[in-house]
Amino acid sequence: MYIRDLRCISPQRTFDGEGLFAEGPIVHSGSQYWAEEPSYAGVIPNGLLRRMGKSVRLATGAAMPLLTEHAVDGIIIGSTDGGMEDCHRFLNQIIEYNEGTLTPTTFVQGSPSAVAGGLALMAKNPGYNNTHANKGISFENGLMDAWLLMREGAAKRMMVGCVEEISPAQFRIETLAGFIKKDEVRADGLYLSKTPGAVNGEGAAMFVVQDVPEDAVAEIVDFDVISFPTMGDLLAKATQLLKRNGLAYSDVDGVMMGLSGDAGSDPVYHSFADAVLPGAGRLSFKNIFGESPSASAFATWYVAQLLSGREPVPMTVLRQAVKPLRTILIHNHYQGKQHGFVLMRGMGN
Amino acid sequence: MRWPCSTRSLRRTFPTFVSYFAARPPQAGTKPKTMEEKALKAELKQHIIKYLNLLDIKPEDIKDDEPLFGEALGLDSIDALELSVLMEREYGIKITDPAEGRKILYDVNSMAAHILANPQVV
Amino acid sequence: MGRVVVTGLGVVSALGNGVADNLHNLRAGRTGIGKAIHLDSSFTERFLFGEVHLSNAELRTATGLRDTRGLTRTELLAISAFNEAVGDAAFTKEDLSDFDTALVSATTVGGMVETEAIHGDANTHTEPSEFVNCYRSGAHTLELARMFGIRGYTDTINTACSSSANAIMLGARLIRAGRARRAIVGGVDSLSRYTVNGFNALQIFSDEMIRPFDEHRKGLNLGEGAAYLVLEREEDAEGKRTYGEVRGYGNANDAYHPSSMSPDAVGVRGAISGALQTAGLAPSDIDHINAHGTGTQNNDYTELLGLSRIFGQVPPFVSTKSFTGHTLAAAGAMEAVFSLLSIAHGEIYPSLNFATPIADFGIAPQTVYRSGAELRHVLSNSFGFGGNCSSLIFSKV
Repeated sequence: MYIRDLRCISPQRTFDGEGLFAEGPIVHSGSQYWAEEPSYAGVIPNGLLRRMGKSVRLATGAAMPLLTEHAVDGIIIGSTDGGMEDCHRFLNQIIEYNEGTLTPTTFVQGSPSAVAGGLALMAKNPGYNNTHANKGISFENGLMDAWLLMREGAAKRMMVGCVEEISPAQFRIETLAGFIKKDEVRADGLYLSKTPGAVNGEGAAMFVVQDVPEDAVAEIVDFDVISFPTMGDLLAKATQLLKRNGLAYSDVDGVMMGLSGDAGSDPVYHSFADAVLPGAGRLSFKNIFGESPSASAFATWYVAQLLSGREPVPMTVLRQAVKPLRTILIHNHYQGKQHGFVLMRGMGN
Repeated sequence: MRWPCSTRSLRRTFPTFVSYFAARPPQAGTKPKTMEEKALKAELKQHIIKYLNLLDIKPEDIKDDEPLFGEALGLDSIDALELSVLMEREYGIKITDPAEGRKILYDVNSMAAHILANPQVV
Repeated sequence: MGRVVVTGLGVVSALGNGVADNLHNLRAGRTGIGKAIHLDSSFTERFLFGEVHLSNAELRTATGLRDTRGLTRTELLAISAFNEAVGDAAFTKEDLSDFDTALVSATTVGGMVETEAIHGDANTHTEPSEFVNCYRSGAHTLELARMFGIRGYTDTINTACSSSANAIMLGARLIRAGRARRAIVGGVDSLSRYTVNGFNALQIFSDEMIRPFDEHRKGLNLGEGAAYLVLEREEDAEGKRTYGEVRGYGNANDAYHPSSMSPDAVGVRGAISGALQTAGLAPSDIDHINAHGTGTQNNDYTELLGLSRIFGQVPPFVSTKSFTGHTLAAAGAMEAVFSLLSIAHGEIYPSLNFATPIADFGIAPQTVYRSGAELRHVLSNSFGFGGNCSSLIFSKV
């Protein structure tokens, strides 16, 4: 499966694909990395923008330029929280008005499926449409869905993407549950942090994927997921993934690690890499994009940039690769419970 | 909240208007009806914009006799439900019958007429 | 690749906890819809619901789990049906934890059923409630994976009311592509203040018993429950009892409106045609239809329009939502279970509360129980907000 085109709205200047690399990263501070949003004028009509919560807006802003340029056979979105802020607005109304007459818009827009449904509506796309809301591996789930469609001959080109928003309510819940960093840490010192909890990011990363290599930006070779793995399980999964693609660990030039700054759940990344990828370069992405259930979508966007010739942002290079970065394995986990792998390769190797 | 439209906030925003209805039903002759209607319609337009989050639309863009569900504003069935909520929260008027709702929510004139004909204690 | 067969079923609904109770009530034409007693909402006074007749405490006991702290009603329902399905398929611990065993579940409300807890955790609590990790989509799937030791592919679908139809579809596709040898697929939703208030705001509740496909239908009754199916490769299921195969599936988007269906049934027709195509069947091959049939003006009209256009002469169709209420993300899987029971037992369960055909169509659902029916292919429809339309075809093996 190949990435034909991609767009990303994130806590970095990624919308035009240039800013992050040309001007360098925005070094965030604290535990909320808010999205750098572009102007939506000309992208989203006001008549539709008025109903959009942040997630729908971010997703639409990243997806619509792609859907305008490329005809796709369907739309697959991964989003765990969807319009979580709308969701809580509706919830608050229930309490505030004691189950009285409530406004339905936030109820309809608060569902994760409102994103893919809304895109189908705007792009007038009656094709395949699905939403994966599976916490930390929703993006890998979306990739699987698209890959299956192409293998079945049911689609040639699909939109796959992810979106998450930082909603005040969910942020408080995650903080209460201990998943958010309580101390103020600057992004360039995130990995020196000895405290528990991650930094929260948001945004949308959208991809047009196709079954042929023509005009592609990068290849998504394969992917896999596992829940609650032991180190043995993790190694077995990764080995299986490489093997079924005729590859060995020595073919992997770099590993993109989902290090989130959480002192408790970060060490597993290095343990895994030490065990099977000792010679590979090590890269990070959450110190520029933040953590979210859909983080691996941002990793995929970033890796696609590196594979098409851009230099990695210095603060994301943890250990220089010995070889040029042609094949990169993304290893990401969410709160230590769900692990995902995405194996990517540059075009022309 | 995107729509801070409880009666409490309404009282803060439009104290005179609300207390007018709260204190006594409108009586012919005590106040020129046209003035009342005019103020009500202006207020209705602000509520419509707020409840439907209409971007780039100013009260003066909404004409009194322009069908709300026509081409101009591009409203749909969900907006109709939002307008029902507006009528209940701001004016204490419950719209239960959809057919009746279509008539009441036809344009700003019909909404204002219904409110004036059915004064409620907010 | 051989066929994908169904070797296990599990269901909990307003008709009962377990396949046997559900089957018994379906045959008897006895609805599970009535006054809700466990749902904490003022709407229990105004509307009828398809509530599972077990309290959370009773569900906890029924699951046989020692530590049920932090489990929401959604999770308890899911565990009940999941457990029955994998037991029915005689899965061992090794089967469950095999890398090639997938779990694809679905929910819409998920842990948000705990309205008070989530509101507190999001606003006022200084200490987390026991449900703090349960609210987000996917939480119940993760809980099932943890509890049952699933190490293969896991996924959670949320396409509103078509969610678990899409979960079944994905499971079958994973097996056909060789990405799994077996898949446990289904969905769950529990009655909650969140969904009840949401549907009330959309004004699509009936204040009486749901009347699917009736001219005078007034809206839907909300229900709750969970249903799971065990899918296996036919070659692995040798010697096992099978209920049928997952023969075809179609998914299309209506691309018309966030919460209502297009006047010419674009999504409905797309989903059904897609299912017929993957199944390699003609419309005339379909012997029975378990319709989406929510009882709303919009759905039933549009669904009948789509069915009429595709089938001409529409095969015997029913809405089993007249028994269970609309169970949202569980509906697709629950109706798949009922469709497979129809195939396995050669019977059609009645569609309840129907009196007058919709004027434009003049066709009636099957209203009486029928046994001795040779059902080769059964179509099951699920349509959701966001224009998400999905259809499945189950066939006799």
